[in-house]
Amino acid sequence: MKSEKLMDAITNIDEDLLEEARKEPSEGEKKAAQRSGQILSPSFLRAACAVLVVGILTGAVLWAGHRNDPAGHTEQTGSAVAADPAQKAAVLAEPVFPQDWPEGEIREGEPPIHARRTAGYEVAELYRSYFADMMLLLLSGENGENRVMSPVNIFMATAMLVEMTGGETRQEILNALNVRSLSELRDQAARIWGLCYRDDGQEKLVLGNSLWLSNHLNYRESTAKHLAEEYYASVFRGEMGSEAYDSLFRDWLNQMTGGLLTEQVSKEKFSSDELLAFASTVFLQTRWQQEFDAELTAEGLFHGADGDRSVPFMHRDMAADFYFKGDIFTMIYLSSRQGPVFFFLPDEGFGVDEMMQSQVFRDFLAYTNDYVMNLTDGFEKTKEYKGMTSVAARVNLTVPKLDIDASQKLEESLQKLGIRKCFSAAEADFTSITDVSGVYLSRIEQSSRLLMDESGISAASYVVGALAGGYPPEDEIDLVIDRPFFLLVTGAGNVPLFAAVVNEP
Amino acid sequence: MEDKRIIDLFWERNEDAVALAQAAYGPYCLSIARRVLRDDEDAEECVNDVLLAAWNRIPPARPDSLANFLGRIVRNIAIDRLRKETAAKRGGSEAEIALEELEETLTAAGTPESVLEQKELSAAVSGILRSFSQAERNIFIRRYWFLDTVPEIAARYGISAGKTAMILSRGRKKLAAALKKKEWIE
Repeated sequence: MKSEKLMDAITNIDEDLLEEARKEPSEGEKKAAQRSGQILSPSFLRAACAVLVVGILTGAVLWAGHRNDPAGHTEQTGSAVAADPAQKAAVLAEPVFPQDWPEGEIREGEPPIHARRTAGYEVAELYRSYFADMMLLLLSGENGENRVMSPVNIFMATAMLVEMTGGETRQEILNALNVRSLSELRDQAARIWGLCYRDDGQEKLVLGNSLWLSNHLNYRESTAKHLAEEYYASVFRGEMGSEAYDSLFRDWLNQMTGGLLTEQVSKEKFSSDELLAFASTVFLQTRWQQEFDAELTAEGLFHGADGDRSVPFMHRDMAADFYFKGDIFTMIYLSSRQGPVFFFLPDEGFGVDEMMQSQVFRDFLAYTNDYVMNLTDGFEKTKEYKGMTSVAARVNLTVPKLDIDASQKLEESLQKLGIRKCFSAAEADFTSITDVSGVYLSRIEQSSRLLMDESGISAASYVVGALAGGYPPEDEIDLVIDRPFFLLVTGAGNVPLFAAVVNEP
Repeated sequence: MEDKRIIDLFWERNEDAVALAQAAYGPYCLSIARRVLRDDEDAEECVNDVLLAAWNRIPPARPDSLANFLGRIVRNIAIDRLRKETAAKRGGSEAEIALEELEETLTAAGTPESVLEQKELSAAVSGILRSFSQAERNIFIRRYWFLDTVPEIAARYGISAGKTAMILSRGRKKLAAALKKKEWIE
């Protein structure tokens, strides 16, 4: 072939590649270029401007004994290498994420997002109780502090954990998830991933996974390959405890969370006695379906657990809308381009924790779709469904801008859900990822941050369609969210992406 | 003015579109043409040709990115002009140097003759570039699409010229190996 033909071929490379190269390189990309030659630089998502919500979940598998003396090799395992003073790390697998069509663009055929969502809607319903249990476990007893977590993030990390475990340890986790087999879970996790994932250049909801292997671990290549293929996981191998590997880990976390959690990520590092770690991330960047008018944003008093505090409040009047009344709370939702965002305000005299004990509130979390469909379907002025009433009204909403974050350990919550053996050196079975004995899950924690402003979140179209009212509302409500409240950010199929208890906006 | 408005004007057959495209992307197109051609006057003529080509192609085209759309046209026009020039004599421009670099790693074999084959080759190259790391891919595209010089790329990424050359060399080898695997070259 003549080089001129190749030059012509390069002239006509795909538009997105050209667009990417045309932009100024990010700091992460520069660092990757600097590392090039020592470390294969993974093709991470470009760090997007921080707009909304992220969550990180990390876990590490600790080897209880025989440090630096892994058990014998088998044919199916990746080979361990001797301790390397150069502390080199390598990328064994890196995913290629789907690219969605830009919003509003018409192309031939069906948009990929339609097929993904069609495949995922029903599956999301199967996990609603699990999601609700995780939210209640992790957000209860907040003691006046902000809490924020991502249910879907924990689900993806738990599914990865199932892939790595075997025997009773695996069965215990499958039972907690109410799934019969690994193959069923694998299929369902892929569908939920597809249901949630969206990246059309503007709207982003990216779920990332990764596996971090020690140079000294004999790992099963087939499992690492499954994680790479089924979970879009990046797979790395390096020297645990080395600055080079820690740095690569932190870079990956920062890239996959859009740089929103740099403070928390800066503390992340592996210890030299850890043999394997895994990480799942969620990065959401979305807009309100109808933005708040920034000129209406004004300082006001938020009556927090620790007294009054002046914070900026956003304001919007919604002429034809609904509010929802539970037994001891009022709820409203706003549409984001990903899905509805629910605000739960306890009645005067009740705290968020008390609201979370309400059976109606708990039922709503566990049966969100049923509630939304039944309460918003039709044109009646009011509708009732299992302890909640929807009221058509003009809603004058006042809600604080948010920038909240939280980190928390997950061991206790997972154990309460029945996932116990993986934490015990004597009982844990991680034979699906390694034949080294005595390996157990030594830590698992989540860090999350949530930002909300005037341009912030947007909504799934099918819920917005159901909201269209055909009558003039007579009621009017001033819903001023100026005291602690519960926030639930959902995506397609009302999958709970993030949940938060806000005590101090 | 945003791309969409300029493209709308092209569609409306409003000649303001040409002036606005010239104002927004003229310098960008000129910089690409200058890298291919040694002569400033030739480069400026290329830019004029680009605007005429854009007027003729929009509609029916409705590009997502006017920068990429115009960039591709100017690159094609400039490379064509260079080929005619260098039929007589060679040497000097970034495009010629880049061509020589690519030639070093390729074994002469079949040549894609048809437009269809050429499209397939472009798709294959895109696919191969996607397997590169992000930094390696962009460095490669900066060199062989935008025709940035090695020192310019080094400055852009904060790395040494030697490392840049090494990354490019590795990229060419990876590209050649992948094309060989796909039987584009022997």
